[in-house]
Amino acid sequence: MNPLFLLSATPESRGILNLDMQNFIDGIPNLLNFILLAILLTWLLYKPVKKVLQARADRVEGDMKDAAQNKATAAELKTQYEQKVKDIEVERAAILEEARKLASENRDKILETAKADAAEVKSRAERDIATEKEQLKGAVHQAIIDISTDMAAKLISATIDKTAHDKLFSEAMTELEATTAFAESATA
Amino acid sequence: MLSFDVNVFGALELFGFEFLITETTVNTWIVMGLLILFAVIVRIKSSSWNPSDKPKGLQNLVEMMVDGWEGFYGSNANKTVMYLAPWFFALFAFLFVSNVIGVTGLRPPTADWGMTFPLALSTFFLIQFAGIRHRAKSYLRGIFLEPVFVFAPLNVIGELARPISLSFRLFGNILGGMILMSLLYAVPIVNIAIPVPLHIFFDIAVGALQAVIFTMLSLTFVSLAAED
Repeated sequence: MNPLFLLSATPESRGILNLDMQNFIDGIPNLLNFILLAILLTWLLYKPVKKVLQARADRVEGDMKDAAQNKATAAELKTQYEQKVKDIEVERAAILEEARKLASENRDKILETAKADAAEVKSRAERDIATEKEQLKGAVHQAIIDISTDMAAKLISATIDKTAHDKLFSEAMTELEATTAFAESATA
Repeated sequence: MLSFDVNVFGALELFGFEFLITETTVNTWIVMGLLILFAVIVRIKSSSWNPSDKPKGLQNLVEMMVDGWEGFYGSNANKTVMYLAPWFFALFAFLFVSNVIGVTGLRPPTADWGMTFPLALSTFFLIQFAGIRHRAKSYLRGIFLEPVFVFAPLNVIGELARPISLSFRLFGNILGGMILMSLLYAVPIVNIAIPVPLHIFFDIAVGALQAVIFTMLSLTFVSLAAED
């Protein structure tokens, strides 16, 4: 059997354009070398790097999905918020309307109460005035009587005769009646 | 004397075949090692990455790479073959680093048809797989019965030509750049400063462009095969 290496038996060089069978035979280990290299490069370099790239792509895709989902959620929240703002606006308008209505009712009620109170005060004042008039009328009447009595007493004390006394009395009575009539017309 | 042959360091005999350990094989292992180291660092760091945190530093870079790739792939390929995005990501990463590694002085693995053809062959098998998996009947009818059955041989040749054209396009461009750079380095005085901008063009710009073209064509073929 031939030894593994045949350094002495082999040629020192091979022509570049010797397209003989030896070229094909030498090509077999070259092809096997390249197949081995391709397998090693794929296993050691290509696949691990591809794995990292794929993982990153998946992560980015996941982030994109999350972002899209967050965007959708945000849009939904915005819609809800806008709806709430609209509802609040409607509610505010309703509350304002209610408040206006209530205020209007209260105003009417207060006005009515005020009118009633004013009428009550007025009628009381009128009653007081009437009472005071009556009292004044009585006081004037009494004053006239007192004055007449005093005048009569003075005249009597001067003592004229009976005829004079009667005449005076009669004049005093007439005067009294005239005074009473005057007072009544004044209070009316 | 300048030589653009691929150095052979040894051989491995397995199943009756002699597999040469060439400069391409070793440089492929270097490219694989760089990419796997980067992937392991990402794997370790990624365990502490939190999707909620703002990405920064390495995380930012790899996220931009994977996310950018997903976007690029999604806008160019059919949605039914989105599951193949990691495969094409690995293809682009491998081609880009393989093409650009020329700036370090190493021979780009893609400057060997023994590397580009297997890659193109993998695309050919993916095309058939996607076509048969997603629309077996119409796909096979498209090859063998359209526009009429007599065109079937032409269609089959067209299918078989794809890996060949794909592999030679990448191989030719990268090898061309490498040969030009080697020639420049062989010229005295010129090799002091001139190669720098040319390295930027042939190794970085053309390298990146060819990686895009190979990957773009591959995913377009696969996507078209899956599309009804």
